Amino acid sequence: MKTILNRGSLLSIALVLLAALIPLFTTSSYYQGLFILTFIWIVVNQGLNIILGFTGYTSLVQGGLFGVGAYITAICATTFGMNVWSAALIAIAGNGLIALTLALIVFRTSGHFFAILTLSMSLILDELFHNLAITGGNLGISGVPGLFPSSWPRETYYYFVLAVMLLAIAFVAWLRKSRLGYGLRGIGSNDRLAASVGVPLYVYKTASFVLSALFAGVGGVLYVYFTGFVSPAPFNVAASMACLLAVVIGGSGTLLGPVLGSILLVFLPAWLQNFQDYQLTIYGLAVILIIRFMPKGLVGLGRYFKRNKAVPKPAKTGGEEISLQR
Amino acid sequence: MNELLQQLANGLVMSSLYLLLALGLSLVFGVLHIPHFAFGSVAVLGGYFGLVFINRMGFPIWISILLAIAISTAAGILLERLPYKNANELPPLNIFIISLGLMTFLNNTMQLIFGPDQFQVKLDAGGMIKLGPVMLTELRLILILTAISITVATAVILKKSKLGTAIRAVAENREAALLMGISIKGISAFVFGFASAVGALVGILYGGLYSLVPTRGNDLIFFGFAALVLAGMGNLMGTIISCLIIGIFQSLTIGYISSHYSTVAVFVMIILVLVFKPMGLFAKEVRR
Repeated sequence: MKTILNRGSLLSIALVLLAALIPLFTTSSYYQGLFILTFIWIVVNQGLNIILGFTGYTSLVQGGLFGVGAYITAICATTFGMNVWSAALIAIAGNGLIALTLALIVFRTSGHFFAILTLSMSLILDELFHNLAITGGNLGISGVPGLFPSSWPRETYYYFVLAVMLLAIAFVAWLRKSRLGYGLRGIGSNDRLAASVGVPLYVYKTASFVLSALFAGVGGVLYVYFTGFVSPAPFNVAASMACLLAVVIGGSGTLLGPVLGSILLVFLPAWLQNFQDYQLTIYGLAVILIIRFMPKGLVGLGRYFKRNKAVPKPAKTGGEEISLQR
Repeated sequence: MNELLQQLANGLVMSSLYLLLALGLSLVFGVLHIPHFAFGSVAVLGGYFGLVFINRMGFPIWISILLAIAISTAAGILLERLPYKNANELPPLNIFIISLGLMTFLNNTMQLIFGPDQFQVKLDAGGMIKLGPVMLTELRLILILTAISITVATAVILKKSKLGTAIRAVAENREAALLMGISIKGISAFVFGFASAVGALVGILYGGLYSLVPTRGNDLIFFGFAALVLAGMGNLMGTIISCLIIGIFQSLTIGYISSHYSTVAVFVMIILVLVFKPMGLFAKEVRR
C-alpha cells in the first residue's frame, strides 16, 4: 500500500512535469490543442468519477451538463455581453443549480433505471440545444471571446487549463479521504450498510451529483473559451457515453483512471483519423474487449500485474483492492 | 374530430413499433438482466437484411422476410454467446457498457457497409384502407396487426407452454431453475434468438414505413426503453399500455405542437411519471 502510494505520487509528479513542459517541446498548436482538450476531459471525467466511481451511480448526463456549462458561458459572454469571468461563474453556479433540481428526480431511481433516466435527460438537453432560440439551433453560438486578452502568449491558456485540471484532481484526491468521500464510497459498496451507520443517503448522493455537475460546468467553461464557439454536436448522448467509457476503461473510482481514460478518449480518435470510417467500429469493438478482459480498467490491470509480482499475502491485498476500488 | 382520430391512429402505429421493441427488450432484460442497448441496432440490421433480399436481390417478400428473420435469430444467438457471454456474472455497469459498445460497433459497421443514405424497403403494401373516418395504409394496418398477434403469442407461450414456464423460472431464480434441470444456455439462446427475430421484423416494417439509416437504432432503442421504464419492468400489460401512451402522446405532440419537440415531450412525461412513481406506472412489487 505504502509503496504503491509513493510510486503513484512519483508517477504523478513526473506526469505533471511532462505536461507542464509540453509547450516547450511542441509549438504545434494542433498538439497543444489536443492536450488542452485532454485536460478539459479530465476535469469532466473526474466529475463523473465522483458519482460513478464513488457513489456507484451510472450517470449518463455528464456530457449534457458539460454542454449546459458551455452554453451558459457562451450565452452570457456573447448575447448578454458579460465579462468573461462572471460568465464563467454564472455558468458553473447555473450548472450546480440545475443538478440540484435534477437530483430531486434522478435519485428516486437506482441501478439501470438511474442510467436510463439520466440518459433521457441527456437526450432532452441535446434536443433543447438543437431547438431553442437562445442556443442558436444547429449552428450554435460563435464569436465567444477568449478568457485572456489576445495579446497574451498563446501558452497562457494551456497553463491555465493545466492548473485547473490539477486543482480538480487534487480536490477529488482530498474528497476520497474526506468524511463525504468515505460516505459516498460506502454508498457505492453497500448503501443499506452505509445508511445503518448513519450516512445520510439522500444528502450525500445529491452532493455527489451536484459536485459532478460542477466539474462538468468547469469543463464546459474551459471548453468554450478554448474553441470560442459552441454547437450541439460535442454535447450529445454520445459524449455522455464517451465520458462513461473513459472513466470505466481507465478505472472507475481511482484517481488515475479518469486521467488515462481521457487521454485515450482524445488521442485515440486523433490517431485513428486516417481510418476515420472505421474509427467507431474499432472503438466499439475495443470497448467490448476491454470490458470483457480487463473489467477494472487500465488501473486495475496495472494493479493486477503489480500484485502478481509481489504476491506475499494474496488474500490481504485482495481485501485492500476492494476497499480501494470503492 | 376526424383529425384527432387520425392522429390517434397514427399514434397507434408508433405504439405498435414500440411495443414490439419493448417486448424483445423486456424479455432480454427480464430473463437475462441485460439492458440490451444494441437491440435497436439489431432491429435496423434485420431491416437491412430485408432490404438486401427484397430491393437488391429481388426475392419474393415473404421469403425475404423469413430469411432476414432467420439470419437475425442466428446473429442474436451469436451476440448472447460472444459479447454477452456469462453476463450474469459481470457487474451490471459492465454489461451496460458492453451493450453500448456493441451499439456503437453495429451502427458504424452498418454505416460502412450500407453508407449513410436512407433506403426504403419495398414492401409493396402502400394501398389506402379506409376505416370509418380514419385512413391507414395497408402496411400500417399490417404493423398494428403484427404487433397485436406477436404480443398475444408471446403472452400465451410464456403463460401456457412448458418452454414459457422454463423461461419464467429462469427469470425468477436462475439457480433454482438450473437445479430443476432447465438448460440456462438453451433458454438464453432462445430468448436472444426470439428477441432478435422480433427485432428483424421491426426493422423491416420500419424500413417499409419510413426508411432505414444506420443510426436509426438509437432512436428506436430510446423509445423501447422509455416504454419499459414507464411501465416498470416485467409487466406485460403495463408495457402494452405504456407503449400506447407513448405512441399516442408522441403523435399528438407532432400533430398539435411541433415535431421538433416530440422526443422532448415524451421524455419529460416519463421523467414526471418517475417523480411520482419511481418504479414505473404499473410496477407490482414495491421495492425500497
